[in-house]
Amino acid sequence: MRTKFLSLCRWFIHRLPEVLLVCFLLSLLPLVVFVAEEAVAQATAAWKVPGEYFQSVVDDPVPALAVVACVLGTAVLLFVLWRNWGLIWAVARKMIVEGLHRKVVLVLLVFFVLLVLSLPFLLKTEGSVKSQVQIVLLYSLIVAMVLLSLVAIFVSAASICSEIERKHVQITDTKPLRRWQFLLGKWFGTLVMCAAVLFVMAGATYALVFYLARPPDYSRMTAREAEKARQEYEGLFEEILCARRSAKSLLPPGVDEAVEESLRVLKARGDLPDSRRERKRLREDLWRAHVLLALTAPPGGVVYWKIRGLKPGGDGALSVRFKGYVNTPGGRLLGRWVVWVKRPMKLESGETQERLRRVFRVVSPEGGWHADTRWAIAVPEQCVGEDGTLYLTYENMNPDESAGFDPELLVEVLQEDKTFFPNYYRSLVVVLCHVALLAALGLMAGSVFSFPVACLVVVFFFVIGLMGPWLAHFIELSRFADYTQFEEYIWMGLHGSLKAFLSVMPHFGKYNPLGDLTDGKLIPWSAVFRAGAVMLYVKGGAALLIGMYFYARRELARVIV
Amino acid sequence: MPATDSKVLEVIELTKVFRDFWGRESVKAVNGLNLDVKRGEVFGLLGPNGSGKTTVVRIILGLLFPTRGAVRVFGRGPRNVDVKKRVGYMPEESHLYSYLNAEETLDFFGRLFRLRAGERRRRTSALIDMVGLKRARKRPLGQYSKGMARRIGLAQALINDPDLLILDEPTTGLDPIGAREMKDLILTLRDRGKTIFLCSHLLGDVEEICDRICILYGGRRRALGPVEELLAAQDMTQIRAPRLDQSALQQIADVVRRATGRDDAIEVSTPTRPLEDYFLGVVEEARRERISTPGAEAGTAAAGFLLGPEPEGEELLEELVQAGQEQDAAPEPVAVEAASAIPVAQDDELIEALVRRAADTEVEPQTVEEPGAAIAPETVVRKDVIDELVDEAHEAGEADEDEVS
Repeated sequence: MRTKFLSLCRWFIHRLPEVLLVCFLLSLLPLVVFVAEEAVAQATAAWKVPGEYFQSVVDDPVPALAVVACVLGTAVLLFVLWRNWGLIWAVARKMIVEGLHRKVVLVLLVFFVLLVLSLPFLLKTEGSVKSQVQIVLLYSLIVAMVLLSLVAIFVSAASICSEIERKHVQITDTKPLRRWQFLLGKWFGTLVMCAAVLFVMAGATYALVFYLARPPDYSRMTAREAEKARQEYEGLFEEILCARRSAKSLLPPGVDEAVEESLRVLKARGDLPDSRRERKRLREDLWRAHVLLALTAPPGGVVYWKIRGLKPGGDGALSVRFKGYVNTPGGRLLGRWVVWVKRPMKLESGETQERLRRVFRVVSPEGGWHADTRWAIAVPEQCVGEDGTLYLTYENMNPDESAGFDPELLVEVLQEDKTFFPNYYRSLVVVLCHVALLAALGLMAGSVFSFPVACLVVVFFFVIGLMGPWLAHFIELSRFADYTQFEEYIWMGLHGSLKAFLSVMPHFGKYNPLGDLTDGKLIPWSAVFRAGAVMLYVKGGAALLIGMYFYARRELARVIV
Repeated sequence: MPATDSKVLEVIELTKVFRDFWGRESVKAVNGLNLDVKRGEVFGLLGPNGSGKTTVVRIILGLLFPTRGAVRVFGRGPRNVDVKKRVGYMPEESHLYSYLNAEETLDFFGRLFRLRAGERRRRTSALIDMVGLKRARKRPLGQYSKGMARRIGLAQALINDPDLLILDEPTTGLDPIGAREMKDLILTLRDRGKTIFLCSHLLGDVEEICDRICILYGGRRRALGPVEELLAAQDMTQIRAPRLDQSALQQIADVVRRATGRDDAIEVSTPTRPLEDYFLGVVEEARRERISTPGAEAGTAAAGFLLGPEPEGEELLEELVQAGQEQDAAPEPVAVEAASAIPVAQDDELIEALVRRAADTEVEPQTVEEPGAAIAPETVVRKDVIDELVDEAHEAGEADEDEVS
């Protein structure tokens, strides 16, 4: 009996790579289903009003380009995998066996369990189920993502380097295995291994979250407690375990015209600066000032927003988020939000014309809304117009202070849309794209450099990926310095090359879906396709191709330091 | 058989220069080497340490790229995938994955040749039997001794039934039985029309199995030709006879003295058996007494698929088995004082001697290239050629001055 069990165990371990592959393929099944669903939805939309649909594509071609890139990339990848499957799987399989033998997978899972289990001791929540769920979700997924990112980039780099250093390649390279097949096999092996681990971790997180979010036991509560618990329980599914469509307000209209008008006035007065550079700077300053002006309501004044991209016809509630500020620090916003709806109106001349009419208002509570704090108000979903637009105004009722709104943050409207699971799944797919890019970068570093250098390069990628947004911010800040013409040229050169460099580098924050996920926001397919196109196919593909180019030209029997 | 196949391997004016970080020439490992290896021969590449043997092998395998010149394997570049399908390589040290066991290793390499699962299993078990690792086949290679690792290194080189087998130091690290088996295997494969290219220090082995050899020194070719012709001591005659008494020996000595006119021209001794034969006899006896060993056991005859579909395959196998049996019936070991006839430690000196002699005898590199054209020691020795060669050996910077001059 025991020997039978042991031999079964051995057989299982021997077959584990195949098991992982099957798990990987199964975990991609929902992707296929969801993408097909989305494709049908898009096709229906295009079929109904083709003109409008194509106009929207022309207006914003990025999502369509991302889809094209993803489709092409997937087709090429599948074709290459299919034609070279035997060899690529042989290498990938060995990579997975290596990962299992070196206990990479085990250590990963142990780390994950330790970190997630230690969570209750590390973090103090205010005790509500809502914040608990939010923290568990965010924290465990971030742990999973960071662990997998590290593993993907280091394991892939180390695997190539150690194969060269331990001279394994001196045998494998004499077999009929092309060097690009070898690299692609390593990449695929890393991907399958990481995907399997990711889906185990994500499954555990999902189970944990839904364990925490189980319905409360009302029988032991007083009526008041039960009501509170019920509200909290329902709030959980309305605010976190859901997928709400997010729409941000457009910049206020008329800013460009106002800028032109100001420039005209200055020109008429003869106050326009001579140099083109200074004129450009002046225009930018004016633009910023006018945006601020348009988003500021003096006492008794009004700020106006138009929010597009909502789904019409719902009967729930929208959540409108805003953050305002007043003249004095620590002050409060006193005013009211008014929602407008376009309604046809008969004019005196007998024509009908669409006019905006007030339909709903929210007045600030006693004492007002704290400035510099995020607030949310509920607005009925019926207020969304047929074209998916919501019109909002803020009327400042504070007689002493102006109320302004941050032009960067704007006003955001959240609308209940899809369920949680597809959203969760989409965010995992984005994380996986991320892992695939890091594996490709690791392979690139490993095939160009030898071990210590490859590690340094990999760390460099990692740091740039983490600090990229800050660096970009600092570069942008530097443009207001008072440069001479010569310094200006140097700045322009540096600025351009640094920006180009940062756009090529991995960018962890840009496509990170976890913040939105735990905020209960919808991660749209367009974001998934964009992440796939940029990280998996463009950057990842480029990294792999660069790695293959250098690896194919490398003398493998020579130690390069 | 296509015409290109008669020359399995061509090395044309091959030069390999290793450069340092700044691109300066640091070592000229191979210098204008020309070689041909024909189908069905066992070719040995010899030379002292650092003479460029391994570099040549690595260039032939596509692991290093030539600085000048070219290498053609089966008429194509060495990195061509179709070429690699027909080549097997056993490196000097087995660079195999320490966490895989013997079966997994062979399975992995079988996959790289796109062998089907059934075929992989068949070849894997046949090769493991052949190299005598049946009992250790589930142990990870990290736990193998050096000799066992060499055996699995040989097995992986044979997984694709190669037409050209490249062996780097095939017998080092193997016990004498393993070395014997390796040599038998090489001869078996040669008889099947396979080509074997090997580099080695162990001159006894080379002498035994190689058809032709090339001796490298300082990256240059010093000698090339069939082994017997290179080794024939043209100014000596050897007489073998049953045990003779003193008077008979005296008579022979008189005859020789008369013929040569020299007193010291004759040397009489009792022939000793090579240590190899003696050692094999001792081990064979132990095996007959069924003393078990946790290490490598004796391998079996060449794996079936290596003997191939050729009609004479069966007969060959039988021949091999017979040969093995004959070997079993080797005479009982005699006293231990049977002296070492192959002083292995002196191999380097022997190579040096050969190199020196080759330098003395080589006349024109072009004439040596002709297949079958041996270096005739009697050819007129040209003083200027020798001087040139010696100077070159100096320049190569590899040699100790005393040894060359």
